[in-house]
Amino acid sequence: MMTNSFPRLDDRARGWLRFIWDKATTQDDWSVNGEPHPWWDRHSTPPMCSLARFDLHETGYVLPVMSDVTPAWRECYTTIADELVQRHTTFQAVIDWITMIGHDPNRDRYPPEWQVYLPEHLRGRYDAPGWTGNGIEPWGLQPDPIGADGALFIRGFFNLLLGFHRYVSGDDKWCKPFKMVGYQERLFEWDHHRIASFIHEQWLERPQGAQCENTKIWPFCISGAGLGLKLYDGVYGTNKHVVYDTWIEYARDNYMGFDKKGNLDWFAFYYDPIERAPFTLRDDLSAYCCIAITLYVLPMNREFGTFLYEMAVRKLGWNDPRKALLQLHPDPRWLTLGIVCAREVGDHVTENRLRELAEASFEPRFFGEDNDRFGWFFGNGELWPRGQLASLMILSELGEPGSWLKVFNEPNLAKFSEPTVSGVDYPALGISQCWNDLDAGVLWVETYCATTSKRGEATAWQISGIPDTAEVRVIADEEEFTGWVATGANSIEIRSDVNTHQFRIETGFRHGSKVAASFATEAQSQESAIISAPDSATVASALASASCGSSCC
Amino acid sequence: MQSRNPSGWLVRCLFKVALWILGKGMELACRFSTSFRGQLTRDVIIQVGSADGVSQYYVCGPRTLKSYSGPSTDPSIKTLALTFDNAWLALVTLLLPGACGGINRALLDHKAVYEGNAVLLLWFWPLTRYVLPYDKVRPLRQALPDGYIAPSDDVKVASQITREPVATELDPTWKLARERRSQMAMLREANGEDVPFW
Repeated sequence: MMTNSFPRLDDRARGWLRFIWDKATTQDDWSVNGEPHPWWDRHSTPPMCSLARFDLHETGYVLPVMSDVTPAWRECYTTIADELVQRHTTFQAVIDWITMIGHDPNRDRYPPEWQVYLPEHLRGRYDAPGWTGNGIEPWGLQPDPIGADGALFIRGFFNLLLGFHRYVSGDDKWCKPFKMVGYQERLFEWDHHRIASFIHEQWLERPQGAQCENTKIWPFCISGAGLGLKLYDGVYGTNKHVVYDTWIEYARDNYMGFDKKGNLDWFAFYYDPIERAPFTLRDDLSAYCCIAITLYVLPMNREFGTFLYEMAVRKLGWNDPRKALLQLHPDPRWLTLGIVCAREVGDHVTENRLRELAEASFEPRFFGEDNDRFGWFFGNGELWPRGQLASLMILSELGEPGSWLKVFNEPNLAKFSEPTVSGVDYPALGISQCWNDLDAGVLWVETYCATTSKRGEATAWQISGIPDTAEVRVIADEEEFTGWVATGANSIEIRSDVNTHQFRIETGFRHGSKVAASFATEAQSQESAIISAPDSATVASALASASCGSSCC
Repeated sequence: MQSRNPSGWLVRCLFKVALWILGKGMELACRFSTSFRGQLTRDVIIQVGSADGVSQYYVCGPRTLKSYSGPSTDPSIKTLALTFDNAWLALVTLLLPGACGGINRALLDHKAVYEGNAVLLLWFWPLTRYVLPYDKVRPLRQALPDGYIAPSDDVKVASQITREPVATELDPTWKLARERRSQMAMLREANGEDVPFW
């Protein structure tokens, strides 16, 4: 095999992709008449995250990073993202907001593990995180899960998921009006731009941040919502994300405390403005509240994110090999977030310590038919890996360190105008590497068998966006390859089999290359103005003006 | 755990008495305080002790709490057992404000060990504040600035928010929604079903 230094999906990433493909493309009923397939994670991090909706957006986290690993092959991620977004408009995705009406009648029956998330002076008479309390005074019933005073966790993370869809697909499907299910199955019309504008405009007038449940304001959800705006800015060339910078100043003054040495003393998990109660875990364990949001903060404000991260790992002793490595909170989410963040900030000592523990105790393994799928089972004895947590774990291994930050700070939008592979018969055939070397004018493609039972079957896939097919030369597994045909002036078809192969395709597409507009890649008809290899900002601006007629951009 | 630096007889007695008083105080709090009882919802045993021979355990059940000397012997109940290297370290750590942080540091520095679910400490500790009423968490005297504490029609997004009268329960005629809600992990656990946490 010819060697190159371009990124590729490893075995674990391929196995995880195979599983989330199954999850996303297997039809199940998320309406009030049905239930999500049991492999959607509705149990992790109770009580506040025990909802299938959290699996939707956390499954989405890996898609832009995978897309940056194989930027010339995106259709698989587009399909998954589309299915995730579709489910996010359903009854089951917002079941908490539209069924947890009034105060929780069970609030004096919470188990001790949930009570630790309640302000100590309110325990026994206060709704747990996760109980949305739609309908309570003074807010009244708000039937629209997007257009609400609260419910930031729904629209904030939905906006982030919509951003992922746009980032991997370039498609404006969700910029067009769609229906969102609300209370009593009433339908409310929204689109990506309106959701982002709603978040932004509401935030401008509420420096504390909007609440999620009535009435808890969570830095976690605010940071997730901020990240959604950051990605929105990245793909549309807007500047809505500025509200998060203002919020950080507010948070520094109000949602955290410092000791005499200037070290972080506490950080709020949430704040209830009606009860005047900032909630945090006691003393050093407040570190968990920091690590909870760091994944979102880092891409938006590296300095603040690193500060939170360093304070957290120091208090928890994760960064000091002399200290005992403990999971004082047994929820694997916190350690998992620690690994992802350690990798992003380049803290190898902490990353290695935590990863070693995760390898030993989080039960990573291949599973399913022919062991084609991969995930972490966390010793739960369950049939499928929990999507919320396993998504974070795979995120900690994908691409190069810094890949997550790069999605938001250096979004690769030029990929839409470069030669692109499509028509791949996934999940029979997978693509582990798909990279345009713009210096050499070469597209590198590595295929693999994603479904073992399909190995050896004949298959074909296409490459579009080639400047001149007459100049194309294909090398497969180090030999001249003739199993391809031109299907147009700018596209070819490769005929091969379901197996591991390496293709070196001389496309002639280099920096500054131009391709005829009619051959722009899938779902990119609106991109006719950006067909040479431009920078990301130019593409974002062009994408916005081409696909959005509203004033929001 | 073997004590590396055992405390003397007097200190061990002091620690033992402190734990006993704490237990009796919590038993009284359980009897007379509704808010204390309201936090006792499940069977849990919390054991606190030192490796030089002192231990006390607190058996919590729904609306009940009992305190006993010695180590717990019931393995069937969810337990947190916290053991310090010696009675002096335990006394100092537990009596000072910020004790949860002190326990964390003792654990990290190998001066204490725990078995079971450590997060139960964060549940149990506020209960001890009914007996030792310092280092308590209270609401802020003054609300944080710029609070949005009532819906307003003057905000820019108001026209996009559908507001209806206060509702105290899910529409009883929307039976399918009630059924779906009852299947949620949060509802099932709060109703006493044993739902896996993590």
